[in-house]
Amino acid sequence: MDYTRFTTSSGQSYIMNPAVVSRRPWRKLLWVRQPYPDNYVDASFLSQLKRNLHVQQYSFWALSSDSTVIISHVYSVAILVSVFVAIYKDKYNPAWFASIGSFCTLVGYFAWDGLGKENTTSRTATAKSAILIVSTLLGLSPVLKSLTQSTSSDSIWAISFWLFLLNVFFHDYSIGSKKTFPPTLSTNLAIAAATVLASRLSTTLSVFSFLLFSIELFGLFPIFSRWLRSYSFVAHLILTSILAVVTEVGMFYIGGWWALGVWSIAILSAVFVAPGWLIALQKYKNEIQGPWDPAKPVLRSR
Amino acid sequence: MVSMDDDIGDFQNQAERRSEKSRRNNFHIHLPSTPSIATVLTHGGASISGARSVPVSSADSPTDENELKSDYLSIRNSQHDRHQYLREHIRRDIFLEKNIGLHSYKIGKRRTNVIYSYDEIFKYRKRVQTTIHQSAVHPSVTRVFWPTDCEPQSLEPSVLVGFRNSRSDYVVIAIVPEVDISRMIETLDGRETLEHLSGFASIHGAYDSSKLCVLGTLNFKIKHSLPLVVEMNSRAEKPRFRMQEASTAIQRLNGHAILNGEYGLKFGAMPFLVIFYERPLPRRLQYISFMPINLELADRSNFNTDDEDGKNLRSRRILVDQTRKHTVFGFPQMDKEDCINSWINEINLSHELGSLLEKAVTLTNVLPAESHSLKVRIVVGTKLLISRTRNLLSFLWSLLVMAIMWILMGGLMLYRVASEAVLRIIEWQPKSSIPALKDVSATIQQLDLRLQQACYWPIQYITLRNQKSNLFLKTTFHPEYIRFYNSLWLVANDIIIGAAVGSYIIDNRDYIVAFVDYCINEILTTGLRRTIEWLMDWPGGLKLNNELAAFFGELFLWVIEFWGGYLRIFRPYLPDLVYLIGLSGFIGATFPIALIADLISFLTIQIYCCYLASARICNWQLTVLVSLFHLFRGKRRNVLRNRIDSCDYDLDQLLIGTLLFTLLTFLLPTVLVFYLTFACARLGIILINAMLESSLALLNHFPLFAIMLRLKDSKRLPGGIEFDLVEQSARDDGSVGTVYVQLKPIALPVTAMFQQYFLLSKRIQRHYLSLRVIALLLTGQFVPIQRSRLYSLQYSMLPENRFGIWELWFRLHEFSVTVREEVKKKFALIISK
Repeated sequence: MDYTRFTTSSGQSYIMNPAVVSRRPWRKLLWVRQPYPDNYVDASFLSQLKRNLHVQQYSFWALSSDSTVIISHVYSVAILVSVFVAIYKDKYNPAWFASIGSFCTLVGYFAWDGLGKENTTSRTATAKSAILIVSTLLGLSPVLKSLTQSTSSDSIWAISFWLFLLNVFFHDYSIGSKKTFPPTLSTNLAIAAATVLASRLSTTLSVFSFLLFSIELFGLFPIFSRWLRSYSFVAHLILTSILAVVTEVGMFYIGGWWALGVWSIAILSAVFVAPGWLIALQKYKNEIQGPWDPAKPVLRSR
Repeated sequence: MVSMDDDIGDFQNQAERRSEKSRRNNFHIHLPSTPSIATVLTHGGASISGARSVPVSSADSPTDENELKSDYLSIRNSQHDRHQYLREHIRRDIFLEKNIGLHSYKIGKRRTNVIYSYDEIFKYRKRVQTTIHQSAVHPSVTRVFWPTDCEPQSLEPSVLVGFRNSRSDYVVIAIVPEVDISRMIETLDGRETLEHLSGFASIHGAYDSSKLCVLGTLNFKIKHSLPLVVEMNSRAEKPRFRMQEASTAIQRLNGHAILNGEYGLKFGAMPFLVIFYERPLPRRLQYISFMPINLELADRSNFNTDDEDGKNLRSRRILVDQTRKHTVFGFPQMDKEDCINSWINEINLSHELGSLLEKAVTLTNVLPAESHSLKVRIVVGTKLLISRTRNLLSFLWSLLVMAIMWILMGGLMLYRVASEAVLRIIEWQPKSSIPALKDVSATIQQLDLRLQQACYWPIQYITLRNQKSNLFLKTTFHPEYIRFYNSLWLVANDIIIGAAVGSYIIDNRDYIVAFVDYCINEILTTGLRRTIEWLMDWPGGLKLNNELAAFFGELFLWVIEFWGGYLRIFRPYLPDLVYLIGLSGFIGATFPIALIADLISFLTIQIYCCYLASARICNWQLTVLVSLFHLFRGKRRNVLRNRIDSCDYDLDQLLIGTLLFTLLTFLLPTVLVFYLTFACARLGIILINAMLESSLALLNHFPLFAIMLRLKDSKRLPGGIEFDLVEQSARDDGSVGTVYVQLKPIALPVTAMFQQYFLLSKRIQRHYLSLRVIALLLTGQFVPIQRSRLYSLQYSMLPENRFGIWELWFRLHEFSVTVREEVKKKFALIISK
């Protein structure tokens, strides 16, 4: 065996300096028997290390304009909650909200139908499914009204809060327009939350109106807003600002000036402070790459 | 499974050898001695050793005397072969140690390893058979079976008669004192007398008559040329055996010792294995058997084999068969594999043949009558007179039997036709999905069982009668006999207990009626109503959906009220019904029990209906919830691949699905609470019914007769055999001289009698106390009660397909013909004298 022992007479092993004993240079190969001890570390060991290879440099305005996507979804949740509070307090006719929602949906549909080029579903199919949903809602409303009668309100608020939170987390915020839509889980979570909330309402009409409104808001509006964003960014900004105004009004209605202030601060910090913070944190980024990384399998995202 | 390891070892050994052919050659040349029972039982009874044999010296095998002594091994031709052989031999000895007692072995006072599972017995039997067979074929040891119960009283000189299975294998069946050897041989040669004496034609072919011969002598002073010479000084002492060498077997080989055949053994040096046995008395229906007696019918002993247990059993049997194919012994396979069975057969025959022989010998003594004195003539005359009167009496008896039989036959046929009609009605299934009447009601099931038993009895009786005349079908005769009388006993018992139970019921009719009344009014109507009202009103703080709970409550209340109304109509007839139940006790205690079980089922039909409805709803809701949950996550179940796939649903599907999912989730507790209430009620009823039905099973199937036999005479229920080391004597040179072994029949253990019950309890446990059942119950699926499975125990004493009317007629006819012929024969006997 051409194996040199690097052990002194006292039994300690040490690393030989390659300059002193001329040997073959060390190679980073496990399967080759080399004249070096097992714990030997060569100077060239980390030579192929790379840092922050894939890190992108963000621009502040790009980040804050992108954050409007998140903001607009949070707006729709806030709008739904405000509408629920309005109906629950019994101060407005619930049919109003349903009519406003339906009107906006129709406007949006025609805009989408008229301007969009890649419509795949026929109008009759859309109308058919709309009628189906509305009639199902009509049929189920009385049942839903009494669904959680024996449950206390607090547990319903807690359930709907968690469902909305999960919905916000699971929502598909990706900008690319070519994604298949809708993202199933977040839509379902939102609808479930709306159903649970609706079961607290007192009249069949309010249950129906609220559910219709929430379906328009969570089922149809995301499709429209996504299309609009890809169609024109300015239009998207306009829509977001309209939503912002509506939400501010709703917040004011729910909690007065105090709620309005908190809400505005939260939204403004999400749009302006959070991107700045992210950029400031970029300098701590330390991503290490090297030839030892295992190959990453490419998985289907959904 | 130590034996499996042995198999592997053998297999490896086989791999070492080049081919089968060379192995055989090896065997013939290099394996001069093989282990046997005798050899196993040396060394103080606890350890094992091979047979001591005389070394065959050859040029390249240096003999080490010390090693030989310690191992008791024979010499091999080469050193290498010898080592290999040593290994193999020792291993085989270990195997023998484990299996020496066949089913159980006993060393000293400790008995171990009693095996009763079919597979294992089968495997071990094969193994032990082979081993014993080897030792039978290889004359390394001379084996003598010695009947201890027929040693002559005063140890007068006697002649040993028995079977000579091979040159070194003798089964002594009779020790006949005060007889000349030549006369004995004559008697045996004139076998016609023997067969004539036996009075049965069946003695032909029951044994290999060429093997039956005079084997040797006991305490004989005169020189003779028979192989066995036995001396016995006192009855307390063990007999001493000596072998006389047959001159034909002696050859001179290599100028060495006198050798016996090709096996390289000195004839006189061969150790004796004396196996003492007590002759089983056929008149008392005793016999010994290698396999435990099977109390069930063969095709019924493992229940029906198309269910899960049967499949397991079958696959295990296939495995065992395959492993047996891999088994390699260092011996060539012999033609006569059933060596052990032939011994057992001979031992079973011994008493009968021995008494026949004694009769024959005395007959040859007596026949030349004129040469004897008056005294002898008087004795002979009285004997003749007695036999004649006996003949006459038996003739009259059989005449009577015939007359009764003719009357009975008509009655039997009439009964059979009637019962066939009833059975047809009971078993009629309009469609395969609709259960037959007997599967619905316990009473009708019981009726069916009794009718089938009654149909089977005549056939059983005829079979018994036919087999009784045949001496040598004991192994099939005895179980049949036990089965027949067991079922008769059980029915008689049933009727006795039933009379007591029935009269008790009739005497306390008023109390019982009051109790049933209370049950109907308080528990089945008011109690149920109260429970449902409680369920409708947020039971135990559970917040149910008010509307749904109200709906369910109303529905079930309506069902209960409806049935309660019917029960009120039925109320006035209750005393009569109880009286009827009491009366039915007089045809067996099983009938009141079955009627009570049916009554309980009848009174609780409303609970069954409610259970069924709520289970359906619950199960439906759970199924829908599961698939909607998949939709909620954006997945769906792929039935084709049996997995969960992701799926892009349409928006309207999603919306409606989510709505329904939320709805059903909130309604689930309500449905579940109602379902569980009725499921618990149903379980309680099933438990009560199961208790009643298991008591039915006990009454119908308890092995009463077998247990009685076990207590009275355990030899009638053989469960195998075992060998006990009694004593061993050494020769002057230190080698093994004679080993005395006692052959003992093992009685069938009680656990084997209750085998069916164990199987049944295991099955019930598997089907009703498993997690699967709990899961089924919780998800509202139907938990099947397989009555037919539960009842397979009850029918295990009956053949699968009952004998038809024509079959019965033919059998009866045949039977009558044989009886008539018997009568004719007896008549001829009387006429002739």
